[in-house]
Amino acid sequence: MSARDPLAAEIAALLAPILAPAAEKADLLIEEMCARHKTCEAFEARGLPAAVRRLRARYTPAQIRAAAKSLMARLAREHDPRERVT
Amino acid sequence: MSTANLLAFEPADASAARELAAALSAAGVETRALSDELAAPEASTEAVVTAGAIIPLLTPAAAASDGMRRAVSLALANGRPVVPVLAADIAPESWLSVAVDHDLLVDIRPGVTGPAVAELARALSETTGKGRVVAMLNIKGGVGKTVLAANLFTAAHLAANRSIAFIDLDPQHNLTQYFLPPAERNRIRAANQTIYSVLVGSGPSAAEREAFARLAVPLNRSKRAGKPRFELITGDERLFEFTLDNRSERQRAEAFARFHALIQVLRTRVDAIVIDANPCATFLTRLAIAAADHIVAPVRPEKYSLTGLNMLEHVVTEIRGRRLKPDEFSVLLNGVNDRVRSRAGEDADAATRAEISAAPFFGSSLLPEAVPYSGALKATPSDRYAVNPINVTAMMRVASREVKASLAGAAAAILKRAEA
Repeated sequence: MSARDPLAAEIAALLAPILAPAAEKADLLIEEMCARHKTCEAFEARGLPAAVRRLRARYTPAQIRAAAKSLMARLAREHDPRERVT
Repeated sequence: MSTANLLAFEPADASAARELAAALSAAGVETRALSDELAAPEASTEAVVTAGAIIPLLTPAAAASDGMRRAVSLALANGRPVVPVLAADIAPESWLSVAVDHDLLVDIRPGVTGPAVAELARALSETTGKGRVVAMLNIKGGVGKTVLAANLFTAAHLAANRSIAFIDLDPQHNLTQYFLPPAERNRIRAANQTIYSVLVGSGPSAAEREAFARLAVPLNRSKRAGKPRFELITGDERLFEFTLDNRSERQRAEAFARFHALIQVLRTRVDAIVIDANPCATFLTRLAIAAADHIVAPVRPEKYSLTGLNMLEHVVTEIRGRRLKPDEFSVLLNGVNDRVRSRAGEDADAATRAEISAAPFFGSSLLPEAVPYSGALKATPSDRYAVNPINVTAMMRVASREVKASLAGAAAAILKRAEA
């Protein structure tokens, strides 16, 4: 984690509940950006700081933050671990 | 394991068998005859259980033969492929007609024609596959079958790049729950893509045989996960129907045939097919034991685990129709060095190991490798999102280096024995 990049730190904190290596979290964030913005082109990043750095070249911090939040909302919906009885 | 195919026929059908054997030989498929030995169980057992495939010649004489029934039963109970050849009409309600898989049946009633021989040669070639079937079994529950299955073979995948397919054959479907969240399980169940839809031969829940190759859920979903497959045929609670004894013999035979068709598909594309079976003796246990090339019995260092082990040997002998050879079986100590559970942990471990080592049958089956007790090897759900299900295993969580090394070592030892 780069101490000089508060946005990367903020995104890492948002994505902390995801149980995965940083490279997989980067993949998820990039996929979410591409789902939200048709102009986005997928790429591979070594970790979240690298992914955020590259995304920021085309998108605003607000757009990146919104993508991270919508990713977490989707995962909460799809990966809710709670069992329910019928 | 031999790769020779056995052509099983009654002496009354010898001329048809000779003609078929000659045609197969001309097509490059060698077969051995199994006829006179049918009447002598001790002579045919070894030949049947080590054969590449069994080709029973279906005729009225075969349908009435106790020896043929025994040979086909033995083949089915020991995971040998059975490719039936219909040489003359037999009664549809006869045991032989019910037991064999009609989807594999080759009809030579019009004669031993070129197309029929080609069809038989193709069916025989499709019975081969590199994948070995490993069944995780113990009649006692709570010994760690499910969590150990997941973590052992995740270790094999991550540490040794082995391709793995899991089959969740337990009505409690804890392996499926271990890997997948409720929403995804419900989606798969609603799409009739679980093992239940494989076993059910007809009705709205049944999966088409052509779809078997697409049923597995990939568990290494990251684009970076690499090429080896790591996948799961999910279970669901409706499997309990197969633990009751209220299905007809034909329905059970159909479930058996469809299960083996699925195994055959998986054998062609993974190194190991890992079956997580339920902790009791039911039709589902029969499916697992009959399909398995190797059985792994996890045992905890406590006396009740040993009772389950003894029962397992009885059940396996009953289903297989013969005693297992020690190299077809592995006993794996799970949860050793548990100082939290018992201050005398090391003593319990040593006593259990000594007890198993001294047993005539299990002694040579006990793996020197053991899995230490670890909090990471609990089935406790995480409150984090495991978007790539491989991440829920101990290999990716907080397990210590010792646990990871033990899992990888034990998995390698099991696969080495299964592939021997």
